[in-house]
Amino acid sequence: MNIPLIVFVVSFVAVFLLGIPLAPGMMLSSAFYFLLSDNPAASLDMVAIQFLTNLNASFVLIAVPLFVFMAEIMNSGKVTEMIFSFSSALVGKRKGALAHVNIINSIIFSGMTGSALADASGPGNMELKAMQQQGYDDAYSCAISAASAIIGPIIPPSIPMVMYAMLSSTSIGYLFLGGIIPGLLIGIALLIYNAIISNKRNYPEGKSFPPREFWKFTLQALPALFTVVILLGGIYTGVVTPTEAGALAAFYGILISVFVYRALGWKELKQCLINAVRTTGTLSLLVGSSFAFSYIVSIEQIPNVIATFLLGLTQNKYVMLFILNIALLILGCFLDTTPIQLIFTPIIIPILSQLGIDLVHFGVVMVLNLMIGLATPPYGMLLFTVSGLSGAPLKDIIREILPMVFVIIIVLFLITYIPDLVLFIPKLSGYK
Amino acid sequence: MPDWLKKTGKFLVDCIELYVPILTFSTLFVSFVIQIFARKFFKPLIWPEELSLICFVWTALLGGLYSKRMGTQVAFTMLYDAAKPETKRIMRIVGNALLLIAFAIILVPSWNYVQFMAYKKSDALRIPMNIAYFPFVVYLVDMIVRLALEIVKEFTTPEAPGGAE
Repeated sequence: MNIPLIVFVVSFVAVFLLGIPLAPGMMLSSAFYFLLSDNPAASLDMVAIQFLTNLNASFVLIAVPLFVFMAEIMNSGKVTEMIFSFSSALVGKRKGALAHVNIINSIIFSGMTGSALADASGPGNMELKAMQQQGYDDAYSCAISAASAIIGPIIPPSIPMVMYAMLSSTSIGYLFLGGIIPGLLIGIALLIYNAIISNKRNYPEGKSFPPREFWKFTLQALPALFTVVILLGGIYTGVVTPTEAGALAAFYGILISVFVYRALGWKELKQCLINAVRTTGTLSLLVGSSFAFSYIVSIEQIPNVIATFLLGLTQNKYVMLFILNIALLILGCFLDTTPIQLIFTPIIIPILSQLGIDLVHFGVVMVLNLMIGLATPPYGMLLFTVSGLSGAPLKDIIREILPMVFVIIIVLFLITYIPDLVLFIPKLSGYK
Repeated sequence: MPDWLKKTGKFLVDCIELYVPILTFSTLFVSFVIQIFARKFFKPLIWPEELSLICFVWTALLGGLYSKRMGTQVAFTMLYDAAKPETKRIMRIVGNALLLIAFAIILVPSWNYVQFMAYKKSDALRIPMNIAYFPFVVYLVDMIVRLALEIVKEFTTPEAPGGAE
């Protein structure tokens, strides 16, 4: 190991130890490396060059702010409320009905936004209040909201899948399609789990909806539900690219919120824009900073060193997938989704290629791993979000969510070892 | 400091960290919508893609400053959260000082690079790339000033001002 590389590693460890935000933290490590390196390819302006040229060429990445904006629009208008009423009418009179509604709501909402946190903070807020009013335990309500929010970025659209597509040069369209079956499987697994627990704990039954009322709610929700058709239909009929789909759906969201539901004024729109700018700044700055970081990782040939080490452990792709799953689950307990993707995807890709692991398949597996990380302690953003919304203590939520996480991990291993659960729909659409 | 100066300063900072990124984000969004409708009903345009990419760079960097101000940046804070108040203060000072040094080191080379890019213009709108890339320098200067002020604050106020953000 040369001195610039040692300084690079040590300063990055210091970023973690001192709690320095990771985006400027990655620039910090890169700056110190470039300062000390005598490599002609490592000049001090490299942080700016890598950041600006790569970000300015990442057309795919613009999908991120657009999906963020779309989620803001959906959460601020009446769209969330309409879908909640529709899901309630759909579930009807069942034991633990509201918890079922919570899960179905997440499945529908996941077709509109690409973020688990948007799901937990938007519809999750409404679901938690309703469950509190009906006398559910706060901890269980929070746990089911957080666990079902995991589906958000698995069913398309998906912000982490856009990031993975950019880092691995994989098709976003096929990745999105690959997430549909795993997302539905998680939904079904959580519905079964909830049915068992609701019977055991005697959670309240839902209200039965006469056909006339059912159709009323369905009709009211139709403009909102049509967002999914616009998004996915637009992408797969070729009318829009996946990147443009975010803009089109947000535009449609504005139209229905203003003209159909009459719930979006200038004040709300301004707040949506402010929130979108803040989230875009957080995520895109992280991505931009990671370009110089990845450049150093690449010129120091770190992916090759790690690939050689891991391939020395095993050449069996199933064992490798197991190792990668465990590693990602552990990393997810401590780190946020985007840094893990940005730092580790370029390192993992050579290993996948050498072992013949399909990149679309692994992309969906990786995103699910990272989403589970959002719901696991000690660093689980979904846990913090639902705890913040309801005021329930974290330790109680963790106790309730762990069996749900276990159920989702079973789905994770199913999709890991039966690749067709991911690849079946992409193959139907021509993926080879 | 006189009140009018404070207000003017706050307005200027808001312009850089909030109003300009809102404007660039809105432009990005509208460009996309125009592109979709133009391609579907008229003919594909080149400029919306170009403009949206430039607006994306601006929104990322200036929006990044806003996310720093709002404390929503991604950080690993488990050790920081577990530390005692005095240790936290030292961690903040060291962290901010390291960032300040790093940004000061790359400021001039980054400025030179951005200025050098003036020779290149975007294909459709002929926007000089030094304008497209200018917010990187704004980001560095804004961060350097903020970090310096935070370090000074650590020594001048008895209570800690906030996290290592």
